[in-house]
Amino acid sequence: MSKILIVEDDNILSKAIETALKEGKFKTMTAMDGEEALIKAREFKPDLILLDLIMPKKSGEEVLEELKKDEELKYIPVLVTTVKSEDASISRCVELGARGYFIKAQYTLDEILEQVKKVLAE
Amino acid sequence: MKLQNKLIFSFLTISLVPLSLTALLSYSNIKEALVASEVISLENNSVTKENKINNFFDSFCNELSVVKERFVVRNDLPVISRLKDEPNQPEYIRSREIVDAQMQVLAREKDINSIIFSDLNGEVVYSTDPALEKQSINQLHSEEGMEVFEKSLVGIYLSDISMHPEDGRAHFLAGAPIYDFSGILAGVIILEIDAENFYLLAEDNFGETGEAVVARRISTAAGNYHSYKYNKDGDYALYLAPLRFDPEAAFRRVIKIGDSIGEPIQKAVSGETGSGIYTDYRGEEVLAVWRYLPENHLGLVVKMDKKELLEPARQMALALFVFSIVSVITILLLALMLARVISRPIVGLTDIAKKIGKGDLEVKFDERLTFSDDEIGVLAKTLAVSIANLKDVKQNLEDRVLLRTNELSLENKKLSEAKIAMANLLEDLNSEKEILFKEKTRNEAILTGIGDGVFVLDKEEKVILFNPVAEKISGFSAKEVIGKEYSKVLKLIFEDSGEINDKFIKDAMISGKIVKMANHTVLIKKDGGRVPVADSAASIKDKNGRIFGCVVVFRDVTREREIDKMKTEFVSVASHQLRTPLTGIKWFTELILKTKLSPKIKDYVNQIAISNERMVRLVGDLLNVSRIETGKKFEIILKEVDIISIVKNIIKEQLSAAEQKHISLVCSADAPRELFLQVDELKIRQVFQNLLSNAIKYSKEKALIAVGCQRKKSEVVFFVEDNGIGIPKHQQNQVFSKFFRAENVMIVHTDGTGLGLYIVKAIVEAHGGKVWFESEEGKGTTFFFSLPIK
Repeated sequence: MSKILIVEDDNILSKAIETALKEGKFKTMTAMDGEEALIKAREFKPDLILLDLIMPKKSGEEVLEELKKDEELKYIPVLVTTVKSEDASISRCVELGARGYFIKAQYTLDEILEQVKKVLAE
Repeated sequence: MKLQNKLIFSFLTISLVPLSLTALLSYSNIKEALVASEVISLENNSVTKENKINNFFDSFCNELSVVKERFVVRNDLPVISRLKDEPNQPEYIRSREIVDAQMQVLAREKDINSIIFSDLNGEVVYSTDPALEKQSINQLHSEEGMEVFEKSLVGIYLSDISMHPEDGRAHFLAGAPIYDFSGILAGVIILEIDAENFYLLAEDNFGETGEAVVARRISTAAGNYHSYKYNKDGDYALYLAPLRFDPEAAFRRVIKIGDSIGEPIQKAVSGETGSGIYTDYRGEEVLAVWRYLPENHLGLVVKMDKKELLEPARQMALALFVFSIVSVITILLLALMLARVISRPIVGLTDIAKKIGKGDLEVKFDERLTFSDDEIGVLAKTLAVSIANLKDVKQNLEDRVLLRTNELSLENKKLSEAKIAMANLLEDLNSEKEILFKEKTRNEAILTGIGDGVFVLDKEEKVILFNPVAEKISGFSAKEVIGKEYSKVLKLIFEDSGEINDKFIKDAMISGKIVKMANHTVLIKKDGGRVPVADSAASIKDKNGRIFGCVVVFRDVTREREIDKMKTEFVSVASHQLRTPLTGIKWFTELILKTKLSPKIKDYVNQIAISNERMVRLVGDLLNVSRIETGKKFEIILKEVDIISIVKNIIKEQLSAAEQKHISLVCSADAPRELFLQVDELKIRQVFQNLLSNAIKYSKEKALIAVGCQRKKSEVVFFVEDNGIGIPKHQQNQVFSKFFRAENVMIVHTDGTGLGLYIVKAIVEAHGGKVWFESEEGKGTTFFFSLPIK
């Protein structure tokens, strides 16, 4: 059973994603900020990370960067889910190695779940 | 000096100089000759005179020597002497008679004043002049007589000529001893001879001034007793005969030895012989010949006045002078003639030359000139030939000049016409200038007053105007900038690359359009600081539409940028803030809908989801719009992508929405399999998404929507075609406006923000393309957009 790390500072949204993933039969863990995200990633080595960008302590981009630098963690697929829709942001994340970039308000939970399944299947 | 005069002068000089020299030489030679010959003459004269004088005195000596031997004298005179006291004695009387008879005759014959016979005591015992008898000689003739008496006792003796003190007559005494027949000295016979004859002899006037002069030296120093008589102390020359110029001079006039006059006579009485020119007793210059007559102790001078002597010379000189004058006149006349003759041809030629010099080439050459065979003839001929040539040349030139003058006068006419035209033009220009000046000052005032920075460039991109706001923004003063190429002073660069941004100015200058400054242009101030600026450049055209410069307007957009930044930040923050709760609602409504719900509740929750979805979309659109409006202008990140695959992708995405209305979405048949273009992928996706979703939204059930593209020369045109409700004609011009929704959208009951097409237009235009449509209400709409092929 795949482990998915949910990095999200808004606890309502975090709860929603967790519920959807749990229904999708995934194991989930959450992190509320960038630092916690890295600690948890190192600790639990999830199979996929859902990463918010706007966060306290460390931004999503920084986390992504560090993840991809880390030998053990760089292979973990990362899907960015954020409200930021700037193109600069998108291309940055793509450059850094994100597998997907989703603007939260534009996607349903089902759609996100589908994407997760798709990526994990690869 | 004229030639003629030169010749005359030369002739005169040549002839007169020798003439004068000759005359002078002749004169001096004549003088010398005269003097020489006169000297000889005078010498001859003096020699003759000397002889005469000597002869004179000799004759008396001879006479005496004869007389003293006469019988009567030897016989009877002693008787008389013996019987002097017995005059009555018949012997005495007889002797006396005989003697007297002879003596008287003798006296008469020889011009003797008196003959006396003195006895040995010096008593006169007989005299032809009875009055003289019975006196002593001393009494009669004083010292002189005594001297003669004593000397005569010994031999014949002649005394010097002297003057008788009483009667003032000059005489001399001649004495001889008388011996009787027994040889006893009886006495002395003394003749008293008047010097008159001597005078006659001595006097020898010749010429006008010539004379002979006789004198004797008297000297107190020498003991010469005669000196006393004349009361002169010293040495003198005493004139013994009357002088030509002083008849009373005899025995009266003296010349002191050593005096400066009468040198000849001084020399003569001093024993010298010679000749020379000296002054005589008058003080006149004379040629004199002097000699000393030793027998008679006389000095003889034969002299002639130099004047008289040289009279011939003088006359000759005069003659020569006259001759010279005459010669000069003659020569002058001859010279004049000659000179004229010689110079005439030359003068003739000169006149001709003068005429030629004045420009008159029609001169006639005198035949005499040209045909004479001397150098003048040659000159004349040559000159004539040259003149002929000159005339030809002149004629030639004149012809050409005439031709040229005609040409020139034509040109001149043209020029003066042009000049008039120019003058008119100038007038117009001047009034234009005034107008322009007024405009200029007005424009300058405007430009100064404008709130934005303005600078104006000429065709060479040199700054010709720089307003106060420009100064303020850039930090440069107008003085520092005006006249220089703007690029050397004002550095406009792209903010990111640092490269010079001069394209917009260059484009404006060439195209004649208004060209906006690129975004993020930065001006580097004088102090090196950077200030973000924005606006545009526009070309300035003259009356004829020719571009002669450009005007650049710019403003400091630092504040604007700040505002933009704040806006973007606000938008960013707002979008985060808005989207998060909206996402929360979206997802939890999704979860709710997954649970078992009563149909009523499900319906209500659906409505919530729909409304929420609208809000989400609105927020998304608002974000887009605000990004457009903050001027960030969609940073277009161009990448070469295959448009066709994007289109296909989006069709796939929209398929489900289309299926709900049973609409068929197709890609047009003649679309290429792939088409690579430089585009911003995400944004082009948005364009297709918007157009397709619109097409679907505004089509009725079971409609057909086609997407396709057409490749043109420099662009590709894409289209999205539907047969939906179309756009009402009177509203078609508002289609691309913000928040616009057509009146007829209610037919299909859809909602929309009215922002989609606004965004499409912005994206397409940001790529350099165009967007347009064709629509008919109730029939359908086709939207087109072009993308340039780069």
